[in-house]
Amino acid sequence: MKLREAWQLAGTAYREVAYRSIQMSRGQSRGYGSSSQQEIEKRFKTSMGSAKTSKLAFAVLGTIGSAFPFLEYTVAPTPEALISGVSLSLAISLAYIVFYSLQILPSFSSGESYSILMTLPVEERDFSLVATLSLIRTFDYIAVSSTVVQVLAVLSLTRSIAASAFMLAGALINIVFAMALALWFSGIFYKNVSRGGRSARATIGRSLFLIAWGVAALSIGFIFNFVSYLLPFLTGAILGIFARPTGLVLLVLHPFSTGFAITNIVYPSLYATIPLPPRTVLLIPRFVPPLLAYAASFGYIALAFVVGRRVIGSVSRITRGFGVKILRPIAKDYLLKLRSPLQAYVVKDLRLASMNPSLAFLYAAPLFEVITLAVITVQFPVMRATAMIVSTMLGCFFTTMICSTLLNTEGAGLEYVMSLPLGARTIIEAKALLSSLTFVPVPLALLAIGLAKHVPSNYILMIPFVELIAIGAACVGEIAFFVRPQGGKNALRQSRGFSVMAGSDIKRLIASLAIAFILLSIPIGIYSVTFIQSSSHALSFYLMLLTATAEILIVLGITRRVTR
Amino acid sequence: MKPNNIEINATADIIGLKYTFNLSADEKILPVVEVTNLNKQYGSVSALSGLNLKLMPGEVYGLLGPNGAGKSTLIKIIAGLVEPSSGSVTVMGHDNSTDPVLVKSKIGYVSENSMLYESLTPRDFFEFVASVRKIDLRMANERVKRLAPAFGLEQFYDSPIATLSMGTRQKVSIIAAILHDPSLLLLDEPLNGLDAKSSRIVKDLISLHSRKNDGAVLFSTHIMEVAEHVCDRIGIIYEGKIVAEGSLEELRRKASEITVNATSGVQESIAAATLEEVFLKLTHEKDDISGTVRALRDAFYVDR
Repeated sequence: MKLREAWQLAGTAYREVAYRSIQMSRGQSRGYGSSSQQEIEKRFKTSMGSAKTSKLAFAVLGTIGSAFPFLEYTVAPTPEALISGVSLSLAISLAYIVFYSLQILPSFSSGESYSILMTLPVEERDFSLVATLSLIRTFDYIAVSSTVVQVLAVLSLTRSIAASAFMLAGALINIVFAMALALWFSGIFYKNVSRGGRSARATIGRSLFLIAWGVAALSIGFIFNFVSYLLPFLTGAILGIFARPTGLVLLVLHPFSTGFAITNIVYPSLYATIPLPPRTVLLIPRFVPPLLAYAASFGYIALAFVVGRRVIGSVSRITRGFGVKILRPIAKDYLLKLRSPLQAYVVKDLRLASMNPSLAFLYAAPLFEVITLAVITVQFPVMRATAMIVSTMLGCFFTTMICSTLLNTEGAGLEYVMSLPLGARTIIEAKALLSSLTFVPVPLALLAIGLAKHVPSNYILMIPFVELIAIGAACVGEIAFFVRPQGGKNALRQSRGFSVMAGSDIKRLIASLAIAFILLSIPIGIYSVTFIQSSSHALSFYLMLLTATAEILIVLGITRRVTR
Repeated sequence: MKPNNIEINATADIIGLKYTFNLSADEKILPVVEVTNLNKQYGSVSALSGLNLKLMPGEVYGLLGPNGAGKSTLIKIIAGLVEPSSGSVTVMGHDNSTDPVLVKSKIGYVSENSMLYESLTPRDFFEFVASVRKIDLRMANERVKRLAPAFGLEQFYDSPIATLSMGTRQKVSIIAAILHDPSLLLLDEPLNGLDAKSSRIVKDLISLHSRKNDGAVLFSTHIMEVAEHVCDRIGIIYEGKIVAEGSLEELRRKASEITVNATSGVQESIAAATLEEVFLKLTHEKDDISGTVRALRDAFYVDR
């Protein structure tokens, strides 16, 4: 098979993998149940359109992310800035490729997307080629754009062909490593979600994996901040390389090895000019660090060949259906644990989220919120009302984002739910309750932080607890925009009982977020205005409490009336 | 359909589940389902047009029709999953437009493609369904304990539904539909992908369920033999309308009224026709089949 033919065929396989991933992430099943043919076609086009948009968006972000670390070098062209620029650029593109691929690859790991291809008279070698190329097509935009940016950045900043060639080699190695990492992670994910079982070990393992995955996903946006943390660290490591051999470890680690190697090409006398700290013995000869960086870089090229071959082998194995072994533990009992419909709905959503990588943030959000708040509040010596309000609103922001995304947990199961004796009210309240629960760690964390610092009034510590009530009202208000007793324009699914509006309806999304923001701001506003007027934290607190309570009662009252 | 002037008191046992039926004919019998002048448009396509249907207690009604005739749409509208364009549906006397939650509490529904929560295990799924339907804990456990092994779910009970075969998903869907002992069972192609043993269990369940007090079953199928043996009444749906309904004998009579061959003008014998032949006749698909077979023969089997 010609490479061009294989690339085209790989495109078909990639589209199937991408489509199945979207179905998987939205919990959708085969077909669309009660939808008409036109609706099915429309949804298919929307799914494929969003796959393409997401791929493009990641490519743009990945390109910006790859170019961004070089900014420091354009301002201050020092060896440290070049090392950090190259290393970070490679680290960022690796993270983006792995992260994006993980959105797609869980469905790849199941191997089902290739079952049709297997029925065709294609030779084993060609089949492996098509499967590998379809894997590459998953992240081709990001890989190509970031590689071009990295090579062009090094060429334009250093004017060195050799350094640019090294950069190209480093970028290619990086892509192979990213591919291997993504494949490995997706295998773990697929194994976690498909093996089932009720053992404590399996449940804990699954939860930890999801929390780690969710935190990583939420952190991806903060990757740009790493430059400011890394640069001083790198400078220290280089300057102290002859005094502390630990600095040598960095030289042999990918992607730092590429950074050091390129810097050696541009600054050949870098290590010869580093002054030895007073009263220190030269432990390592001055020619060793550059040699080590080159050796490590060439070593990684060799390793990339080995890893690449293994990746091709794994891809072939997975696509032929020899990927993950699914365990079928025999049930020891058939006992069910029944709950109220509201609780059952919350537990169901939690269980669905625990199996869905795109919903893992539900578990990770509380941890992420706490970490973020701890980092932000650490700079305040005194926990004043302003600091508390800002921190609380940050937590609120995360929670309001969770509300609308929670609608994605339904997927194909939504049709089944519509056949159950459930009204819109139960669904709204269940989703609002679950979203509000993700906010609970925020007041607890702020209480702990507040107690560890000086607080002008203990009433300040209660602000986030009162805001928890407002969060409840905001979540009910926000979800009520999407789950309604009757359908209407842009309804995703309509039934007798309740209808779900399309989450992609931007106007509705903006309106729901605006309502949530207003509901969250009113109690905070009442506190602030009252305090400015009276300078009394107690009075401000009680008025805030009163407002938040009135808010939730009014919102619940309206919802219950509308959904009766 | 059971006659109105008798009283039935009996208990039956199937895979350990006790069914008690007690049908008294003294009171005026309310239809389990009444569909009046139902229309459903999907854009410019008319899925149902002016459809009427009535199911009485104790009745097993089989819906037969070619692909796209409107079988699934009709079942979904009765189940409250799809809003009709016009017309009304009542279940046990309750209008499903004004009382949808109450109506849904009386229905057990199995969809044609087992649209379940794929990430849940069958155990999680049954817990969710039984909780939402507010089934008594003891009863739910008792039923699952008997039904799950009967359908061979032992090794799939704690595996995510996404990893199960189509037949196993269908079994999960069927168990979930009968957990609350519904008055009306709506089964859309319930035997899809089922093995012989499970098919037999489902067929027995259908017969038994209909004999239960107030119970009725409406199911769609492509398997003529099943419809012939399980149904009290068969409705043939074609282009969104019920073109004929009744017992097999009644359908044969109806078909015989239109058996003058359009091309030859010869009266065809329909007296001993199978349901398949009657179905093809009533849906005017017999000529299509002859044409398709001719085309296939010309394409593959004629010596060139």
